[in-house]
Amino acid sequence: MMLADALIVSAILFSIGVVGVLTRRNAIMLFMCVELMLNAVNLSFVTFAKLHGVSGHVFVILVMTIAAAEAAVGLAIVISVFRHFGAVDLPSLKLLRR
Amino acid sequence: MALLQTSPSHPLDGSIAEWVWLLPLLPLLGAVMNGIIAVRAGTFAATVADSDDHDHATPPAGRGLVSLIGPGVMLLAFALAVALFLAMRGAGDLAAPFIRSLGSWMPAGDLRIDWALQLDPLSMLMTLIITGVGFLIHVFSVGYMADDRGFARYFAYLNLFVAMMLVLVLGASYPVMFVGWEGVGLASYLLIGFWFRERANADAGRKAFIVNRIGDFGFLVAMFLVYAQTGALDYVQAHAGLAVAAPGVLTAIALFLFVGCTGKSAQIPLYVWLPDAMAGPTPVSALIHAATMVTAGVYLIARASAVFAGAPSVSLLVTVVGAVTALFAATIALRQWDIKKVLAYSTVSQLGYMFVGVGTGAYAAGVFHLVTHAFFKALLFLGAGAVIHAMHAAYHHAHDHTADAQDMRNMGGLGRYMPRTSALMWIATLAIAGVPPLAGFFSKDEILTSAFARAHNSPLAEASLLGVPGSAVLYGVYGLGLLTALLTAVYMTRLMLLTFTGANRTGATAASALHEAPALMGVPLAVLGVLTVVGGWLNLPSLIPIGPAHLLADWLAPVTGTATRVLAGDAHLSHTAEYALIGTAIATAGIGIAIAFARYRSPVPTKAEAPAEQGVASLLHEAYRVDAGLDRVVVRPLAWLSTSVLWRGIDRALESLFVQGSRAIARAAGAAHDWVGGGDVGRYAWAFTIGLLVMLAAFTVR
Amino acid sequence: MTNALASQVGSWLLPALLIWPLIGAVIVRLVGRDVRPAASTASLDAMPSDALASGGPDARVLTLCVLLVEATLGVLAWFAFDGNTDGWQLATDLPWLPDLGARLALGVDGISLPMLVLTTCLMPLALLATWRQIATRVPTFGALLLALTSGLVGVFTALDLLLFYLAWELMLIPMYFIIGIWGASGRTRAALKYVILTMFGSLLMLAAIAALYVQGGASSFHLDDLLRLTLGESQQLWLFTAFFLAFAIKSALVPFHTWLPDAQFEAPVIGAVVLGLKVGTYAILRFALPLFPLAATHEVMRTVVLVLSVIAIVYGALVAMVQPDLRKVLSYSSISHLGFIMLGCFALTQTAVQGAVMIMVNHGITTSALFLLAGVLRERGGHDTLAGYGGLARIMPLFAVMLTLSMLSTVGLPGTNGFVGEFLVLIGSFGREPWLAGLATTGVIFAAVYALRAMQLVLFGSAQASAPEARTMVDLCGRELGVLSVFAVAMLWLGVAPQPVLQRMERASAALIARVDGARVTRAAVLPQLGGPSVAIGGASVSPEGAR
Repeated sequence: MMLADALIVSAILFSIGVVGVLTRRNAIMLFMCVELMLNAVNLSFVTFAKLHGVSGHVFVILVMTIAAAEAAVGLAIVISVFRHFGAVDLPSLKLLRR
Repeated sequence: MALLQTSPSHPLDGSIAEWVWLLPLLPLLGAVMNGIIAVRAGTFAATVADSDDHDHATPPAGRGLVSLIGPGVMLLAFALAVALFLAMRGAGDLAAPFIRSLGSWMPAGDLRIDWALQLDPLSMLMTLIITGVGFLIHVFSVGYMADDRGFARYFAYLNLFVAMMLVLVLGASYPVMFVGWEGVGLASYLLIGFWFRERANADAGRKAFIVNRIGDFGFLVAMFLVYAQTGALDYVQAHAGLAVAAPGVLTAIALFLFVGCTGKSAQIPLYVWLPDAMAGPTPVSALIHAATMVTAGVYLIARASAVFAGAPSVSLLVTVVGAVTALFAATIALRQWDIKKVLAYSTVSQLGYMFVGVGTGAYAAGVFHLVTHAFFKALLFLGAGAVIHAMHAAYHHAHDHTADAQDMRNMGGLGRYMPRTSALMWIATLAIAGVPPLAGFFSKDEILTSAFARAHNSPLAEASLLGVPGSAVLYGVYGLGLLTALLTAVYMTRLMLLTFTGANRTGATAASALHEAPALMGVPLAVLGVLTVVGGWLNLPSLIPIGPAHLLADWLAPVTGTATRVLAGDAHLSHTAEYALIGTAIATAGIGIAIAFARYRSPVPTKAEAPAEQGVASLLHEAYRVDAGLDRVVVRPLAWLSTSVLWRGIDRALESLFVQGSRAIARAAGAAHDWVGGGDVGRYAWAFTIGLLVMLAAFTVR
Repeated sequence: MTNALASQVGSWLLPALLIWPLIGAVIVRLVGRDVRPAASTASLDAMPSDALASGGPDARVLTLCVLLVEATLGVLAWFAFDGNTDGWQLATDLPWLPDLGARLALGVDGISLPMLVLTTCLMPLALLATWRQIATRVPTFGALLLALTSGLVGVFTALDLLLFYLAWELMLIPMYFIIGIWGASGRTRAALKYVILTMFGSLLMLAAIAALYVQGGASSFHLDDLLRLTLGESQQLWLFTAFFLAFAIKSALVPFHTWLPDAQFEAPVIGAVVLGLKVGTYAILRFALPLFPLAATHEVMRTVVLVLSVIAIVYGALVAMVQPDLRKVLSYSSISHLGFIMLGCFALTQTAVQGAVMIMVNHGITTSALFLLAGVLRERGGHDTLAGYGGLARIMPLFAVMLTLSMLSTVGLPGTNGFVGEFLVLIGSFGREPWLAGLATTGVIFAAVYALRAMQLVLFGSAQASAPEARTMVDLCGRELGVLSVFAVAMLWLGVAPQPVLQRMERASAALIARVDGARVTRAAVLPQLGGPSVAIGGASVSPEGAR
């Protein structure tokens, strides 16, 4: 059915996002993957909204707002890190490690 | 098991026997009082600059009071003992012992042990000896130790010893006897190491205590076996229970009891402490290492006669050990130059005789020799004490602090200076050599006769020891005993000749100060001399009709009679045989004395000039180098084991195991944590994801 | 009279014993005044001079007063105890954590009573004897000591397992600080070792307690309720092992003993004295044996423990024989005596158990006296090395008398208290385990060797062997002599007349043996029929806590 298809697309998008978060080295790419995950979730919310009513759409609005805020804050941090370390290459940021 | 009941209606009920508890208490009180005087008078605390334990100028603190208390309580105890004895004589049937319990001691589970004292012929006899001879030795000590700074401490220890010895013989159960048993070991330790400023003396005391402890181990195991078998530890109930025990159990119990005896009574292999014990003051040697403590083993076997009668092979072992020890020690005494060492080895040897006596089941004979030996050996030791005392005074007068006052090579011709001491010691020498009609002859002869007699037609003859038939064993024991008698006569006469006859070797200046013992020391010697002469009357053989026969044996019959009859079986000697044995014994004594006279009349070099010992003489002089051997085989390996293997090896290993182990655990935990992610945020992300997937899977699958 | 006393004090005595030291600790820490460092070790002044700055009472005096009150309460408990009743006495049960099922349940029986009284009476004596030895941060020390006392009381009287665990830890932490702050030069390492090893054991015990709790339906931590559980044999074995390891480590059973010599060497005297109290073996008798009888009577387990005990006896004595320091001799002697106690506990006869408890009590008295004397030696002479002393019997005669008496008690001379316990253990275990008991008896020989060696090196010989400073050492002062005399009297009294103590512990020991041995009988009877190892224990037909 159409719903199932949409959900499958959402799942695929989410998985691509997860894999991306786990494997990308560049921080900006990581954020793009995070956005991808969020949007995949949005898609599944909209799909379920078709079944259960308007709360799904409400959630989408919520998620979009939070995604925007989070992206802003995150990018600000990335720029700060870049200014300090000269790179946004995640594996090389090792301060927390022993 | 019922609480220990006091004996039901005994002839001695309500008589002076009710005061039996006062017997050990009196010397104990004396010990406490003397001890307080010793500590208060500060006789321990001298300035460190003191180099001399004997200060002849000022009398030791508290001497007057202690001289009254020390011997005083002994006299009171002896008087009480005599009164008890007279009560027993007049009481009639003494088949059952008189027991009084002073209170419960260790009630635990099924075990019930009381502080109970038992008065019966055997304990009465021992008490008389202990208090009587003990009193004489106390009086002697007042004179002997008169100048010693530790006067009060000495009498405190001596009284403590007597108190413990009385507990030993008066106890009504094995544990109470054990209290006395270890108590006399303690007193002995304190007295041997009395002059503890010399580490060697303290070490001698320690050696005595530890070797005794090895014997005590045997005693303890025997007690456990008795309890396991019968559920009781007091003599009356335990022996009744053991009467129906299997022979194997009796053998085990008897064997372990005998181990205890070898420790306390200095038989092979636990005799090594006795010669070293001569480091203590000489009256101590007289009391403890001649008359009383060392005889505790003999007393134990007599007390446990019911057990030994049921274990003939162990009884055979007792006789063998006794006889071998007797001969062994006699050979060593032949070549000793220190007068006290000769007497020490002589004691070991005579104790061997006593064990031959009780081993053959002639308990009365063994105890008889115990009594006579107490008389003449105490006399010998005290006499030697008088000699040493005089020699010390002589060397002090000559300002000679290096010469050995105890070495016989430095003596000679002392009979001129000390005629009374000399005469009395000759009496004792003849007694120990076995010359009739002195005490030693009767007792020694009876032991040898009973050994010979039981070699035929008795349970002992039928038993066997390690495959050797009992009769062969007993004949061999008799032979060893006879040979020992010969050697005894030789070495004792040698001692007398070297010390009292011939030319004086002390040196002119010193010799001028030699003198007879003062009355305080002389009177006890004289009393002991009289006892040595008449002591034989205690147990005359029926063969020689000069007086009442078998007084002692009859007296002891309620305690040891049954066991004696059991082990004697049908053994019987014809009159001819008995006469022959007596003749042989007398002849042996005579030959021995003659040999000694022949060999030791000629002049002897002084200790300083004496050549080193060689060959067999050297071996005998060093007592077959047993001490050195034991040191190499037992002591050093044990020390090595404890130090290198146990302490430095295992203990350190365990320690590092735990310390390194905890460190390793902590490191591993840390490493595991590192592995899990450390500070790597990326790892954390992976962890989230995987965890989430797993949870989802779990939920969906369920 | 005893019952009248019990009815008067029974409801509040044990909680008072538990709480009072804690209150005292707070008071001492807040109000007590510190002490200036002691002027000279040769001084004979028993109390600090009045010239100290004012500002509240001396912390030591305060602590002593608190401990004296505690001791009085302890003696009260002794007289309120009735030796003819079964079950817990002076029992109190206060609500604590109802949701968990944990209660403040306290009670004593014949086994815990002597230990309780011993502990409460020992603390003020030990403090009095070592008055001058703690001279810095005294209020903190006093507070820690009082917390420690409270922990000890809790351990001996707790009937609720959670409360017991809490008290156990309460014993541990202050001791760590006491060793670590006021100890000798190697104190940090010793304290750390002590804590790590003991806590490892505690962790195992906590796991076992939790398992037990869960097994019981997560409803109660109380001992009586847990005793009613039926557990399979393998379950019992695991839990028993956990408990046993914890207690074995704490009591320094070979091979877990290595922390003890260092801890007792570095600790101040009071610390060493408390370390010598056999809390671990008490806990075995109280918890490990009754809760897991199948494990206790399991052939392999029992044999292992018994063999370890005998090894401990001989090993401890042999190593004590070659130690250069007096305190280390005492530690290894302690380890040797522990072997006797364990032997008595696991021989599983009433006589042996009573002997084991007797040794626990006697050892507390004798070893404390010995550590006090060792403390005197270290204080006067600066070190414990035996070879550095000699001829002290001339210089310090009173010290010599006390040391000799205490050493003889360690050796087990009949007439002293040391003999009673050892004899009862040996004779009680001989019936069941003749070979092991026989081997254990050789311990008396080795004990004489190490004790006499240590004693003689210090007391006998020429005084020239001591260093020059040592030759002017001062003998025991009045305060020390007074305290040690109390110990001496106790040693002799308990040697000659131990029956008041023995009588009070009869019922409890009998009940314990009935419960544990009941399992052995059940096992023998039932196992062949069922043919499997996991047999439910039905031996609780005799309930030892009938009065509850």
